[in-house]
Parts: sequence; C-alpha cells; structure tokens
Amino acid sequence: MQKQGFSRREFLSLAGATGGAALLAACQPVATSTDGDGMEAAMEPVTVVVQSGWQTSSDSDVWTPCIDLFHEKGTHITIDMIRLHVTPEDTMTAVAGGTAPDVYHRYIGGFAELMARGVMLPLDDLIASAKDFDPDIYLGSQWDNGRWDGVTYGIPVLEGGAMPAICWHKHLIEEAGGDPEVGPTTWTELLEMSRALLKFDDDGNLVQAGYDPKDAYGFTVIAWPVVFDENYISEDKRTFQFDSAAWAEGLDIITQFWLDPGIDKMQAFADQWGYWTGYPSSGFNNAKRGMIMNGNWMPGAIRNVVDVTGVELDSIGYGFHPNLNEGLKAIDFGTGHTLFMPRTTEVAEDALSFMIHMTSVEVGLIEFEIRAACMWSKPILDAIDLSSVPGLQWFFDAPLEADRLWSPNEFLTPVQSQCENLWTRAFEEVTVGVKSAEDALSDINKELQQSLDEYWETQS
Amino acid sequence: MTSPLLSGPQPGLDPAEAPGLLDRLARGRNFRRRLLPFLFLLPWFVGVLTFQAYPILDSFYHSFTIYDVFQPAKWIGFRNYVNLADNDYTRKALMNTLLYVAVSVPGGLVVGLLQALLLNVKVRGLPLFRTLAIVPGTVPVAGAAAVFLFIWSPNLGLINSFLKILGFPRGQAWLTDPVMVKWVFIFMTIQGGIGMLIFLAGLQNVPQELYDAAKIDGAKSIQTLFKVTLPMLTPYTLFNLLTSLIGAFQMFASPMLMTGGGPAGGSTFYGQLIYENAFRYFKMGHAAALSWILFVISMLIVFLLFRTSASWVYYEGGN
Repeated sequence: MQKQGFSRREFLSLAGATGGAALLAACQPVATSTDGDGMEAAMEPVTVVVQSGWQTSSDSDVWTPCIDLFHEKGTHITIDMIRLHVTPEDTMTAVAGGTAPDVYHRYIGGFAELMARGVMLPLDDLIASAKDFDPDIYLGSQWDNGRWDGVTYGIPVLEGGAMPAICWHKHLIEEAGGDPEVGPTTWTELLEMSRALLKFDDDGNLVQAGYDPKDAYGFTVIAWPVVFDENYISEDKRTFQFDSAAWAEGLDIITQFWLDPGIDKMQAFADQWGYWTGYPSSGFNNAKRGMIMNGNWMPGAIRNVVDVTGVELDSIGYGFHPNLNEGLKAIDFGTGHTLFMPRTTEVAEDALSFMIHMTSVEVGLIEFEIRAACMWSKPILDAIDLSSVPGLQWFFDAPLEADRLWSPNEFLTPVQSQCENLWTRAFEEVTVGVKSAEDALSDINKELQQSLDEYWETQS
Repeated sequence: MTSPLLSGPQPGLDPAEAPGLLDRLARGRNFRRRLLPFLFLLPWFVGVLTFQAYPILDSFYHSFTIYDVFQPAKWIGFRNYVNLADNDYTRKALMNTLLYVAVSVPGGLVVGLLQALLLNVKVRGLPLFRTLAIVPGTVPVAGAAAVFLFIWSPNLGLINSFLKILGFPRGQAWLTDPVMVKWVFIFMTIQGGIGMLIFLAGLQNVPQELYDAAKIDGAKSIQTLFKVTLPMLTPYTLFNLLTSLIGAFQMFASPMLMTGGGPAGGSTFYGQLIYENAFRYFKMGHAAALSWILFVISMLIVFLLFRTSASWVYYEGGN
C-alpha cells in the first residue's frame, strides 16, 4: 500500500534539509549585489534570549566577550542576555507560563528532570541539519550531559572535564604528617589528616579545617558515586540504590568530618570561609581548609584570586580522590555546563547557531583566558597551553590514568532535585544524630523510589 | 410628581398599546438599573472565578492525580493522601507547624497587646515610639532573614557574643540543632506588628465613660484592664487571632531563606513542604493533597473559634 503524506521524521528531515539549504544560501557572498539586498541582509533580525547566572559579572564575566564575538560575525541574530541564576523551578514556571527565554545555561544536575519531562526541546534533528558542528569534537562522555533516554536536549559548552580530584595545600599536608606530593590516598588517611588540621581559637571557634564533604563539588549528590564506587540509581533508571552497604559506609565516614569539630563549629566556619572556590573568600583558596574535593576548574579558581589570597598555584597538590574501593582511581569524565532550549522557543534554529558558537575554539580561548578552564573538545585542547596553569595538566591526564571513568549520564534521574534535597537531609540527619546512616538512607530511598515509580507510571 | 409621559396616553399612539410600551421601557430602565451594580461587580467576580475559585477546584481535582504540569494528569484516587499520611517527614513538618502555631500565635497576641497598651499611654514623643514599634514589621522578609542569620550565627552572632559577655559559654548552636532551630523561628516571629496596630485602634475606641465609671466604682488599674479593656478588645482579639492563625499556618519565607528547612527537617514547616513538592519535585498532586489537608485543619480551627466566639467576644452593638 502506498504511504500517504509524511511521517514526522520525514517532515523534520525535509524541514532540516530545507533549513540547511536556506542557511547555505544565506551564507553566500553578497558582493554581487551592490544594493545590499543579499539573503543575510534580507533576513528578519531575530533576538535570542539567553539566561545564565554563572560567571556573569565583573572580572569573571565570560558571557560578554563571547556574545560580542558572536555579534561581530554579523549575523541577523542579536543575543539578549538575562543574567539571572537558573533553577529548575523557575524554568518550569517560565516554560509553563510561556515566558521562558530561548536558551538556558545550567550545569547538568539541575536539568535532568526537565529533560525527562519533555520541558526541553529535542535537538537531534536540528543538530543533524546544522553545518559546521560535529558532536564528535567532545572528549570523553561530555556529550552525555545533554542527553536523556537517547535523545539530545542540550549542547555542552564552557566548563567541563574531569572531576572530582582531592586537592590539598602541600604545607598543610606536611603539617598533618602526610607526604605533600602524594596527599591522602585512603579515606582513613583523609580523616586522620583532617583531624590533625583542626585548629580552634581561645573561644573554641574553629579557625582552620581539614576537609569538609559539603565544600565545593561535594555539595551535589552526583559527586559521591565516583568516590563510593557505587551509583545511587540503577542503570535502567528505575531503582534507587541509596540503601546499600557502600552508601551507608560512605555516609558514616563523611559525616565524621563534621562530627569531629562539632557541627555548630563547622557551620560557623563555613559561614565565615565560604565554599565556592570562585569567590576570594573561599576557605580552600585562602588555605583555611587543608583539602577539598573539586573539579578541573580548581587551578583556575586559585589563579584568579592569588592577588587577594597570596596562595600560589604550585603550592597545591592534586590526586585521585580516596575511594571506598581502596586504591581505585575513579573520575567522572565530562559533567559540566550545558545549553538547553525550552520547548517554547520560536527561534530554535537561530538559538542553535548561538549554542554552536559557544562550542567554538574562540570561545574556549576566551574562557581559558578568564578562568583557566574550558569545555574539553579536541580543537580547544589543541589550542590551549596547559602548562600556563600549574596543576591543570593533572586533570587532563587523569582520564588516561583512571581505572574507572564515569559518565554524567549515569547519575541522572527524573527526580534529580528531590534526590539532591533528600541526600542533604540524610547527611544532616546523621550529623545531628537523629538517625543512623542506614536508616537515613533507607528512608530517603523509599521516598525517592515512590517519586521515581510515579514518574515511570506517567511514562507508560 | 408622576411624569405625563408615563401617566397617560400620548397623541399619535394607540391608547391600548401606549401604556404597555411605556411600561416595557420603564421595566427596561429598571432592569438596567438593577443590572448596573452587577456589571460593576463583574470584574471582581471574573477575577475571583479565574484566580481563586478555579484554582481551588482544580487543586482539589489534582490532589487525586499524578501531575507534573507538562504531562496529562493521571488519576490515582486517594493514593496521594495515603502516601502523605505514611510519610514521616510530612508528619514532622505538620508537627513543627502546629507547634509554631500553638506558641507563636498566642505569643504574638500577648506581645501585640502589651505593646498597644504601652503605646496608648500619653507620654511625650508618643508618635515616635509608635513609629519605632511598627518599623520592624515593615522590613522585607529577605532582608530580615539575612540580619537574623547574622544575629543567630554561632560564631560571630550578636546573641552568642552577648551571652559570652554575660559569662555563658560561647557557640550555642541556634540554627544547627534540630530542636533549638524551631524555637528560634518561633521567637523571631513573636512580635506585635500589625496586630499591635489593630489593638491600638481598638484601645482608642473603648469609651472613656467606661473607665470613668470603673474609677468611680473604685476599680484598680489591673481590674480595669481585665474587666473593661480586655472585654472591649475581644472583637479585635478575635480578628487578630484569626489572621495570625492563618498566617502562622502559612509560615514559609524565613526558614526557607535561613535554613532551607534544616537541619534534618528541624525547621521544615508545612508551607515549605507544599512548595518543594510543587515546584522542586514537580509533584503537583502531592502538593495539592498537602494543601487540602492544611486547608481542612485550618478550617476546623477557624470553625471552632467562630463557634466559641459568642461566649467570649463582646460586641458593643450586640452579637
């Protein structure tokens, strides 16, 4: 029987091909036309609204030079930047209310459920028809950042790469009796060194800390499967596995870092010496904390505040984070930042051309100049000088030396925000002593499983 | 005087029909006159239907569904209610909220009344004192939360520093102890605020003759307070009680901003649970069920208050 009409795929392919042809035509030189009525000139000006709250101000502003560079290319597209923190909840309400921007920038953990619930626009067909863009440029599993259930919803841009490492101040490790060039290699060593580094003033206030599991990268639950060597979600994304012996053991260990100095002391110290290494007031950047779990942006973060803190880059050591599976060298290769389009955008093709621009070598060099961090693509890696930032080479070598490489996609769940919240709750319940690690994890596992089951129920 | 146009037949008109037409015209005018107020009310009515009645009914429906806004709702009967009843954390948030209501509402009423009594005393600089008393209530919640974080900080906080001067050990864990943290929020919100203003207005409405009569009868100040002032303030007390009860059940912003509900749910109030389920977890059905449970609890308490109010509220013009 002869098929009638087009299937959706055929229609999209045809539309993509037509769009591609139109783009090619638009890119033809217009020199033959002296009256300026070439295709590009004839295209209606379009504004693409982009929202991000990351690296958007003063000296650390990555976006302005990248957008200027895009505008210099002379397309019909103007980028309008909303410099506002992006959260899943405001994204959800903006998309539901039809007021969302055209492009969101966000690290992957916060957008997993939005991909899973169809809030974001699938990009596979658009990408297939886009010229001058090849997803194969990405190193490792970075491309997985924007994917859910085999569909691409986002394009990784800007910061990405290997994480987490254990980073330490060499002189403090020496003070704690460790080897300053090797750092802690087991959880036991990490705990002992951390205890040795605790210092209090005459009033009993903590003035120097060793290691804080909530610091920097440790704030997110996706940091912990790598160093506990066990995931919290099954491969088919249908079963939570927080109620395992490995997670209970891991939670017991990491809460000990708060119980040793006392939770009020630790909280007060954290209030004074902040977590985020992008700020000059960061505890680790100022050598007020001896060790930290962090990613490939750490050397750049130290470099950017060296004038304020006086802490030199080569005084920091880097190594594989201690693992519950003792001796295992494991990292997550690729979790990073991603650009998404909400399904409400009406300028998808134009937005995509900006997203692709953000993956370019020029943008990579701008970010590297400002932050000494970048997206890990083959062309960008060829264009940057790793030796210009002491410590950075370790992160680029780590994937080659690791025994186990994790992909960002392994951590994603359709109930990710709840997963983050409940993990924090379990940590607190154990630190304040209202539950054992087993009970706390069993309770959050039950609650999360209920939500996960409901999600799958709506998908069937 | 009746218009001739309405009272008698007019030239050129059929005498039999003319009054009927005029009647109809008159009826039309009357109808329009009767309709006019409803037309004025229409925008309000449309607003209530659209922004209140519809969402209320819609949330009731969705409380029996799984719904994440982006995909069609799926009917699951009473499962949301059963799951919530089975959830320790929901019970914890409910207990935190009930404790908060039980302590902060009467506490706020007493403080508001005491402030109003003080500010009703004729002294020099009274307008200044009244202004100062109301200023804390005008500070935005986010700003107040930032200031209170500093005040309660275990290390650098004003309260711990003050306690140290008094010789107490420094470093009391105000916000990191799951039991203490509840009381911090209760203490923070016990203030006169708008309730004080309403009491003050009520105090100024108590007839002077009653005080004069009490004085003649030899009543002491404390007797005047309990036998004249407080009974005359009971309508204002009822109003303050109802509004603060409803407000207390909706406690949300300060703990959300200061502790995020922690530690270990120590400062998780019911409003935060609704917010998290709806907007962070995309569980609109759960959030709707939580809201309806809160609504029923609040309504029961308000109903009881109204049922008992006849026995303790005195209205000057009669109940």
